[in-house]
Amino acid sequence: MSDLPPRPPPDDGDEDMLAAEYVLGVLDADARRQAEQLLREHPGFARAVAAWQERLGPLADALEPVRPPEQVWARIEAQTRPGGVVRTTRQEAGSDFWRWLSYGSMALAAASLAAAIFFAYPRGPTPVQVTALSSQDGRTHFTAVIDVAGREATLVPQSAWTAPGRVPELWLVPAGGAPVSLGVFDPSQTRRIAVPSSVIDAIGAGMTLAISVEPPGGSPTGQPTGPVIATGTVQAL
Amino acid sequence: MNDISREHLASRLRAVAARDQSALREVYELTSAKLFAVCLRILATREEAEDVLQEVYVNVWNRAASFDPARSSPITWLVAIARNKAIDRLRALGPRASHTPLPDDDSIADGTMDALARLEHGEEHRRLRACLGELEPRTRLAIVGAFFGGATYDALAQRGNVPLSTMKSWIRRGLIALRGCLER
Repeated sequence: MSDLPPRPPPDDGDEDMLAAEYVLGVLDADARRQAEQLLREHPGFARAVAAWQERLGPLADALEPVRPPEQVWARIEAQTRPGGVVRTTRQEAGSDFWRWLSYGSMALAAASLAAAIFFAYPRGPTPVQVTALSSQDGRTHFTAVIDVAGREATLVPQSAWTAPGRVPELWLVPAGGAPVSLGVFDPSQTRRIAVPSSVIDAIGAGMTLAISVEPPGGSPTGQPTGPVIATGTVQAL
Repeated sequence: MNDISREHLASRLRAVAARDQSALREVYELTSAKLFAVCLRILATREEAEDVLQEVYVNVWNRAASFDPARSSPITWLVAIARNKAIDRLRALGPRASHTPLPDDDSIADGTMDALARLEHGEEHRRLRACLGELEPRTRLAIVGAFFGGATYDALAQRGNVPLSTMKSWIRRGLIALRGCLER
């Protein structure tokens, strides 16, 4: 994915110095991109960079280690769960949501977890976003079509529901906020769900769409109580 | 990191490459405090450092198969990923990054001296310590400060109140001297 013109490898002395400067971290953004392109295209340069990383890397031992907060691992776990790909960072969801998300998935260990494949494209006069929510084996379980202008989300089931006696509930999680329920729905039918204006307004900052498994009638607490089986990101177009 | 833990970490990375998430957890437990410290030195806020740290381990999950034990030790491979992501984020933040005042030359020097002292008192990296010791103090400070902070030549020159060409020349000569010393 390089939009830069191909660069001839610098001569050996220059190449090694460039590798050293890249590793040291003194190059500006443009120069870094060029060095990265070289890294991809010239094995000699890649070797030089690896050698400088080995020479200078031990300097990191001079830093006092700092334990990161717990929710960092929770977010990493959510993003690297086999079959689960949730492309959000701390800015896009409150930290409580992330803790809840990771607990939910552990509870559902044996069942299929959903991967969110997000893509957005303008379609006709009204832009829509389509998020496919699919499981580990690649099957799509729901497709969500979000019409921001029309303030609607349409959920289209793509496979059989596998949690008998339970119902899916749809949540929108605004950036930095708590999940907002958009209601339960019948997993066997296409369902159009109205999205409140306040929620639409918050979409600009990016939000996460999630489906949890709840008792009939939905969560009794107003927040998700069951495992989350599907997530996707909604972004401002 | 001694040889036993080097082999252990390498084996955990192999397991991560085979999609073992518990191995990723172990790599995280073993290395995240060090990598978080690296990110904190480069980025202006703790929140940014947390975000980048998350990106780093997701990257490790996706790229563990590209770790080559013949070419790198596991910890320097990880440190390099962390530094690259943090510096990329720093560059991307651009002017926003300087909404907090840049630390002045003195406080950077103090921080660097403290870190060097820590390195001095460790058992490992004798050769690196000796070779750093052979540099002129201002060259040593420039190189080590650059490594920790990820600032551009331009920013370093401004901070050190010297012309850009002077800063480049100090650092390049220092790097050449280091390489020569380490290869002895």
